[in-house]
Amino acid sequence: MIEYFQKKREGGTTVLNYDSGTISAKLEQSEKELVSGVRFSMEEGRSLALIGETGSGKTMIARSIMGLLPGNVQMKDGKILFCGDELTGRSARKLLGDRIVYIPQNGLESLNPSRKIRHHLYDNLKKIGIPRAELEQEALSKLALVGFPEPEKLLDKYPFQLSGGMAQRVTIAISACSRGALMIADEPTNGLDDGAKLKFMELLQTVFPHAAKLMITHDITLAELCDETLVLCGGRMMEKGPSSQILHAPRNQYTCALILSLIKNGMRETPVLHSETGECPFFRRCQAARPSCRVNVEHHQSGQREWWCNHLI
Amino acid sequence: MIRIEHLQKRFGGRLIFDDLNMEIAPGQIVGLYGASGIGKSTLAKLLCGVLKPDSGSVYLDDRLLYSADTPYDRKRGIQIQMVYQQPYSSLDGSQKLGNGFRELIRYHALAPRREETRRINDTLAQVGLEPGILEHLPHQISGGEAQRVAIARCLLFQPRLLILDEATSMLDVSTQANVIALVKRVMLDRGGSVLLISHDRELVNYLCHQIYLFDQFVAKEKER
Repeated sequence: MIEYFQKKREGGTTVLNYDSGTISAKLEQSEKELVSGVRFSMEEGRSLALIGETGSGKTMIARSIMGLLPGNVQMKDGKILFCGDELTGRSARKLLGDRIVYIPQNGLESLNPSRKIRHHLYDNLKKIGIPRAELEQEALSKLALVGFPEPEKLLDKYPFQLSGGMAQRVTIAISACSRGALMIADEPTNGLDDGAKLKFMELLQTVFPHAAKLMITHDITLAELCDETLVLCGGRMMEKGPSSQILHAPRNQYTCALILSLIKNGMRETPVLHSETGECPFFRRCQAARPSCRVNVEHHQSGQREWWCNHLI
Repeated sequence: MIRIEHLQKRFGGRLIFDDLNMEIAPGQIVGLYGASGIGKSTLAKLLCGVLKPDSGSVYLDDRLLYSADTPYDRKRGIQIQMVYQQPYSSLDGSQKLGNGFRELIRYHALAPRREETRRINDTLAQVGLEPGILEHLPHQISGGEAQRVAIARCLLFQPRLLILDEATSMLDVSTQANVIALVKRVMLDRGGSVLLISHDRELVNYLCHQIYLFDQFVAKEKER
């Protein structure tokens, strides 16, 4: 594990080295493994999409980076290096809103309904040491950056006076009041059409040109806009590598199933086919499952691509 | 099967739609497409009898179901069921799923007590769920499972029309594909119809036999 991190650190521009170890939740009478053995690194200015179905562990990974795991969830044997320094829950929370910024799924819900937009922006600007006299000017420039033509009209509005799209842009402006080296966005384009998704990604690139961008999504069209994609199923890595290769020529059966379930591919169903579970988290629904998938999953690597599957395509 | 004639709805002084005319034939998926806040869900609530129209009428099998002057015929209206966007919104968070099913059956007298379990298990089998799920609370199941449970609750009433109000927009691609395949199987294969309300143009264009575009207070039928 240490070698893995050292190798990445030599590159010089690595922002995040992530090794989940095992993330598990304590239930009433048992313990449930949520994420296991997920490793990736992110470099300055690059974007990585974490894709997978609901419950595949995407959000838990993001929360573990931000030090915001729920009380009954623990990370064991994992290690997170941020700009070379090890992150613990407490140190990650200190960096939130400054070096690590988060863009939530629902802009409106993430804003305090009783506070004006001005105060939302000021809070973050103060956190990064902007002097009081410059707060308004700086806030206006951040709102202009995210595309508000008359930002001064927005400062004294309350969140309920904004549409969903405006609120989303305000949250990006708030995130821009930072020295963000890592940006995490959770399902940021839910409900947007393809054109709006493209504009959203362009906006992120404008606002955070140098930050590493981690996109948590179940939207494959959004993943196509990212440099790299990591496919997750049941908290395990299925496939990792450049988006252009993974999403157009998948090597893992689960990635294939995800792509075939897109509307343009005929919305192919993935029903449960086997009653028993296997080592591969996709075993029960995999049409190409073999007896060996019950006990082990082979790891393959080719160039920048890695995938875990016993079925060779 | 469903015919909507000259329907008008206002909220206070605000006109939502006016002179709305639509038809939903048996065995068809009809799409309702339009921007947020334009009145798509209002129409769905009208069809279920949750809201009252200001003028116009709704017919089910050529018999009046509802109009501005006639109260909603709840006995027949039960054949119209709706699945909501938030999978958990139709489930009681403090109640085990099995109790929720039994409550529905008893309230609407859908089956005698000795047949409750068989009826519930048959319905769960239709949506591909195991009876063990009945022992769970809503927060213990995934979004896809919750949406299947919501559909199963609708199926208890053997609906003729199932309204999906953005019912798959919160789901991931493969769960969405599974839920759509399920709805086709349980509704269309036995002559029922589906009203698909969505702002996802690609989904509506792909699935629907007939599409209505909601715009400027009216629903215009789109050429297919």
